[in-house]
Amino acid sequence: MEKPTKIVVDCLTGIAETTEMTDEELAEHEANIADSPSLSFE
Amino acid sequence: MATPPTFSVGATLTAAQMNQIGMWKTGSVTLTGQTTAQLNNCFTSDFDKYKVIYNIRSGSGSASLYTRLSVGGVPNSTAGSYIYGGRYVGFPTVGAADFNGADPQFGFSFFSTSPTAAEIVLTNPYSAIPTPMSGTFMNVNAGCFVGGYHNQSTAYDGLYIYNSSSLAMYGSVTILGIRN
Repeated sequence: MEKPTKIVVDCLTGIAETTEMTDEELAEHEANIADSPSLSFE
Repeated sequence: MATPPTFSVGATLTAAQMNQIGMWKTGSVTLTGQTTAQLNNCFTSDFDKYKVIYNIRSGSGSASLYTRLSVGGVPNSTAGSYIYGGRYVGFPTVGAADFNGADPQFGFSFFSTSPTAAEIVLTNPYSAIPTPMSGTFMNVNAGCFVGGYHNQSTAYDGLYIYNSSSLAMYGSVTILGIRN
């Protein structure tokens, strides 16, 4: 199964890089979502 | 001499005229299915105020759209530090409600396969004082007015954008510095 991807942009240079999230980043991302309740009007 | 905003072909703009340009693009990202976006170095000492313009849709599904301020590529996730409130009105069936939050992110919009247009103005994100936010969002289901602030006295240079359902995001985010 493909992992979610992230894009990082350096706005000074305009360089953008898209990569798959590492296991550590994915775990952190899922923790972020768990800490971020959905909006009541979604 | 050229008189803004009307110019003639070949007219040379003076420094005084160029300094009247009200907004300057300081960053952008084009989203082609990424789940998160980290924009670095989009806030600098050049501007006090920044407009962030979101044009985001999903490939499938809907989710809340979240934004955090970041420095050095590290988003601030302090619990309760993003304090905001607003009111939304649905359409075509009218339904309205107030909402608020004290969360580890700004949450003021949602998106689906239909594009969402959202705009916020961040004041003093690059200064080590709290950062006020005001904005709007619109999509096919609702419109919303929102305001709030991030209460940390940190100088930020970037934004982190993600969503509540790990959806792939499509569209763009543009950041404009607003001249004093």
